[in-house]
Amino acid sequence: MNMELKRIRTEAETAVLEAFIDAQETLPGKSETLSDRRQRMALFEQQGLPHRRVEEWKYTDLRTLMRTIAPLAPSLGEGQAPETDVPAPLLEDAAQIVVIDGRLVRADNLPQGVTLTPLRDALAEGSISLGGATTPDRAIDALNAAFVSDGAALTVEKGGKVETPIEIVSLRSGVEEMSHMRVEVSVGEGASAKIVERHISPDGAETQSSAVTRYAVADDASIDLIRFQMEGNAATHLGETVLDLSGKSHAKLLHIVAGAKLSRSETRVTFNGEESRLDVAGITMVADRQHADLTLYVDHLVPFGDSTETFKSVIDDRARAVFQGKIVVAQDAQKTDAQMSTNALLLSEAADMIAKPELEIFADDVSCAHGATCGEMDEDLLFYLLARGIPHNEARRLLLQAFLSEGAELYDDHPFQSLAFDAIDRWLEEHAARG
Amino acid sequence: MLEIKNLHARIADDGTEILRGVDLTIPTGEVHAIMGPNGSGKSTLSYVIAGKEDYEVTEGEILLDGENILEMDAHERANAGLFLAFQYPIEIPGVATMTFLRTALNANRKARGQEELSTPDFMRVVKEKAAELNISMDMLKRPLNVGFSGGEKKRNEIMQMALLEPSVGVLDETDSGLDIDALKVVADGVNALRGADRSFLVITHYQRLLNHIVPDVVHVLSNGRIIKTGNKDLALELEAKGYADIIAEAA
Repeated sequence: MNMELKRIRTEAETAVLEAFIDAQETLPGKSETLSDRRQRMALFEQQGLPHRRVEEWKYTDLRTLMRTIAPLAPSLGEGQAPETDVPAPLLEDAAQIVVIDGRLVRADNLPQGVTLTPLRDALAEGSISLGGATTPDRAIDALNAAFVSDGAALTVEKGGKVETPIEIVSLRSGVEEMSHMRVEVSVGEGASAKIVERHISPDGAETQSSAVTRYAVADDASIDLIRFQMEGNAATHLGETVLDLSGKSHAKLLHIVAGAKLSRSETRVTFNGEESRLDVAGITMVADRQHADLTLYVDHLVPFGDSTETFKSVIDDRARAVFQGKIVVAQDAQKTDAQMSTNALLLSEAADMIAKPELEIFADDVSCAHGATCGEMDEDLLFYLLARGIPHNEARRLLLQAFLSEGAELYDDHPFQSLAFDAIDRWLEEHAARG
Repeated sequence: MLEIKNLHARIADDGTEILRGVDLTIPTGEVHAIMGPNGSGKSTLSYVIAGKEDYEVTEGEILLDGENILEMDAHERANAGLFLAFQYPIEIPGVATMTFLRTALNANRKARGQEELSTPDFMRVVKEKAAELNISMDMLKRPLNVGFSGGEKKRNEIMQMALLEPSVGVLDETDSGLDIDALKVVADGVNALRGADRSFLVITHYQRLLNHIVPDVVHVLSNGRIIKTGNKDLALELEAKGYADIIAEAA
């Protein structure tokens, strides 16, 4: 007999449940959608926020780390979205989709071959499903699905080679609320697209947000993604990027993680079609008391899939970075090639890195490897630079730049590479030059 | 001019004493060689001069052109005119050789109160120095020392010295890992830098290098002290007889 101990609900958990009771009738969607939302909340009622006894959340114990839940950002039809300055796109020629506090505000200059439906409309029409109840580790998706009211559904038409980069900027006005946004992207057969995701909020504002972006990449299609988590220094960010790869498709994803006080950015990739390729990388740069969790799941379900997973972290002060990477190779997924590495540099005695690479292989003819390193900056490298007259801070900057830049190698000679380099330089300018 | 007076140094981590009272003066314009058996403290001496933090100086001083450099950080010593050519030049993936050279040169110029070099001026200087040492532009485009052969690494060291124009150059076993041809290129590079305003300390195991870089004075270092000093013939004597006799004689 299973004895379920009665769990004491935290203040935050109670706030989530109460917010749902208040909001459920106003959230967009037909009855199926509402029923999906209710299922998620029924599960939440049992399980609460994920905590350290949920294996996948061991190092990011949300129950402890999220003590309070901010009020839910107003849904649709409850007045105008707050005014806030929208930054120019990172790439000059990019189209821009702007989401403020979880509400789609505008979509400018979308290139030919790309169509957008506001998520609120797609939900109202029932053309998009939020999916049903899942397992306790899917807390981000559950929270998002229960509350999300807007975002976008984006389609890249079959065969459309879209050169113009599309930037999805999700920003918070700074009102201390919890907001949720979801973007569903469908990349048609043989199509290609470049997408920049930016998640930003002002410093000092205790905003909370969840962002779920789901990419369905059809046969022979390709997608280049770069995702910036640059939230303000008091923000909580819960992100989930889902990639569903069909046959002979190619997806690239580079995470730049430098923001938020507390963040968890999950990536979930499924190889559903043969001969597909995934290159995923991460550059994490944290300081002060930041907690940044990058968690990756790659499921090789079918044969002849190749994947590379390359993660670089630099951690200063009392910050903590978590990397969890789990690659599962199913019994059918013969000839899979998966190469995962995670390297971290700790810049202070109190900095903390947790690396948990996992390989679960059920096929017998595969080439899979993972490697993890964690350490201080190499004194011999530093001395070589010093011995040439380069001052300490400059020498450190050069070495950190070199170390982090390797995370952007998947975008050699690609416009995203310079975006990554700019982000690295900016962070180093503010942080590493201090030492 | 480099003056080393009663220098005592130990390994910072475990306190092992390596240098036990080194006295050495290299007047401006002279080339001095230090020879000695394995473990005599040759490389330690070069690191202590350059300011590596793994070593602790417990006694004595090092003067560069009259100024005590022991209180200076490694980069300040370099900018004061000291250059160490490493026995094992470090590979730094991700740092382009050109970026490194430019950063180093500009740091030096800044310390001397000079303007940074413009890109065309920098390129011109590097091309000129590189050509003298048979260093191709292709090599300079690669990350620092990554994938360089032993000879290429040593040539790169000498090119850096040529760019930075130090007043004192310390060459730590620059001959190690070089074949005869590479040795000649490196030695020619060093000889081209010899001049009335520059001194060298050449550290080596073997006399062979000193056929190419002919020293004014040869010292023998053993057990952390200089036990014998002579002219270039001392190197030949060591090559013929080994270190044992001289060490026994000094003891």
